[in-house]
Amino acid sequence: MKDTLRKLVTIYGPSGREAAVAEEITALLRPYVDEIHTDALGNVIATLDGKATAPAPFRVMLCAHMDQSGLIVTEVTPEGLLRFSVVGRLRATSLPGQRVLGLSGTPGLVRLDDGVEVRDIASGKMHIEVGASDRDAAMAKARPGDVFLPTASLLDFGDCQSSPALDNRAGCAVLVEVARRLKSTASHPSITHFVFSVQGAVDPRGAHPAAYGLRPDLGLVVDVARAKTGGSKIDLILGQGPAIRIRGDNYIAPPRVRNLLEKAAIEANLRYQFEVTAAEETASDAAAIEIAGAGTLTGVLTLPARGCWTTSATVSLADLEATATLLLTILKAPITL
Amino acid sequence: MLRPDTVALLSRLSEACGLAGDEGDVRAVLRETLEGQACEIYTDTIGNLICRKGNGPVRVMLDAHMDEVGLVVAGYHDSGLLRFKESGGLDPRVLPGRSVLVGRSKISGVIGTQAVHLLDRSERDKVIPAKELFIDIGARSRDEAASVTTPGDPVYFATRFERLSDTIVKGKAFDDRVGCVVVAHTLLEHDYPDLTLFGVFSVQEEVGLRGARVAAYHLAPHLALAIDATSSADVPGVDPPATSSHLGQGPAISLLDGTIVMHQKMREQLVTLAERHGLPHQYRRLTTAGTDAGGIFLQRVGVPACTMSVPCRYIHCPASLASLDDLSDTIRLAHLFLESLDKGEFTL
Repeated sequence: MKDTLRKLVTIYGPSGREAAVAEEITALLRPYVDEIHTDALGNVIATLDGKATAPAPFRVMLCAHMDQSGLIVTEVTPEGLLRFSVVGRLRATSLPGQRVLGLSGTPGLVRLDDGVEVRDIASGKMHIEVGASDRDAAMAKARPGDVFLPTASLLDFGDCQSSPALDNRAGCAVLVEVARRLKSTASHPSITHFVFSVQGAVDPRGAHPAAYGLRPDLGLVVDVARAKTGGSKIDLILGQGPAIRIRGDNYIAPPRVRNLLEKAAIEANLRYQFEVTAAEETASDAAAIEIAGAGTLTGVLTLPARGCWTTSATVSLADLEATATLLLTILKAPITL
Repeated sequence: MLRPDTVALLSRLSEACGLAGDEGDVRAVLRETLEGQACEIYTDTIGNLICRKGNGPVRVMLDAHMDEVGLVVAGYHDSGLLRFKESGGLDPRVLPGRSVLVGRSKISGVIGTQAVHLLDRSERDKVIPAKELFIDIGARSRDEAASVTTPGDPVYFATRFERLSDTIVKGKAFDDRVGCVVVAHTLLEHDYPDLTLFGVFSVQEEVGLRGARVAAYHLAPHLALAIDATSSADVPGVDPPATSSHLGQGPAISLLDGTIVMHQKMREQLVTLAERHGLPHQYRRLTTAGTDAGGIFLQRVGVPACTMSVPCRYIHCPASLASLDDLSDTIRLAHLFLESLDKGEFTL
């Protein structure tokens, strides 16, 4: 799992520019699935058929968004500095001083404009330095529409891992792990679809058309969520297992799905938590899957992440492993809701 | 330079009244303009006007919304003054004192507020919230007001279209009647044998991108280009990074907005074509708000989509300014884009 995560967090993949991540995920997943393709919007959709003999096998859609938040260049100033907007959920307060990289590896540095007070920090009051002293020199390195990402290497604490891209490559790594283990599981009666969605770091988007096309019987989303750090009132604890989301922005867990997830956690003897929140940033792909087509019962497992939506999210590999195990426990048996 | 009949169409569309849910007048002008012009033309269940041209294998949706921002009658004061609500995002700073037209019979009225000499000094510096304003149609009682209006009546700004110079025009509802002109002009002027072109004049964009979602669902296009109007805040007091777009510098191509990160290949194709043909163009530097593209791209199994806008000053205000050169360049770039699809020079 750590190797997968290491691979995935270093790939360039901001919202709307997911092609490289899609390619890597396709390569990782191909040995474990029957079919895999990329749809019109760039979602990766893979299927593993459990070869059930039932006439209409139960179909599950596992979903993790594969994009990450970034800084999109909106203008190059006459002084050779890049103006930008945040795409996704990066907190502006975590940006000043951050080293960033453009698509072709152009290095950059985020800096506050002169004279901006701490309380006024906002992305409109910062710029990206690319070491250019005028517009022409800067345009040779970056153009409007280019997206810069916080430098992407993985900080390895042992069980805990830190990287700006963990939202939501951590979820992607879990899904790849589920596919790997499911392939070698003797019995898995459902048809399992693996969806790696686009633009999910911004809002529930790519998952909607994916769910519309697949029409699954059950959707299960894996995403990160904010874990407790100094001073926060959040209940989620890093390393205490995946959280079953009861309530999030635009989402309420259907009791049948909540029970399915909890039963599986108990059966597999896993530690788990509940997450109840309505913060705006907690909109997950579930909000889209639920209402796609004629509607889909959908559950959300969240990976506790310290510093979520900053440039230094931290997750626990044990939580990731437990999440994969929980999902496998569900997929190994016939599912009834 | 735009042809006189194109400017005349913008003038008619600008003065036509079409609040979200009340787009009938705008639809009638467009239908009259396009009827019998080698299009199949119909109105769908939600009110979108759809004009299909051609039967080619590539299905393209070219979208502009018909509705504009304005007010809705919400009730009455005993004195005969009208309460109102906003329809779409309006700036309360620009409401007091405006002449308006109320209801389908276009009764004249004024948006009223307390006289300035009744306010104490601190109140004079404040923006009056819309809910403290009212509309005065000269009625002397609740009954009199209610006999000529009904709650739910649309309220429009009484702004006439004017040409301020060779290139600059003034009018209401340029958001998105300029887009309607682009789509109508494209349908009237060009044939694309390899495309099935759906010109979509959508309803209810200003209140949640509603019509375009429905149209994209039932038309199932392979890709969609939304033509909209975007704010051009190149006026004193605005920091350069916040100007969004500049009047007269060509169509504003969106990178993203609050509802969609634009399809990268489509966006790059627009820029490539503009550069190749020496057309002025710019990026929209605002990355918030929404356009029909955001509603369209999530329909069915996904529709690659992008937005291109005509810059307009004082958007979502009673009167806006636009440049006919920008409009002309937007028309041209939309055509070049469709032509490149038609000839197979551009594929997704």
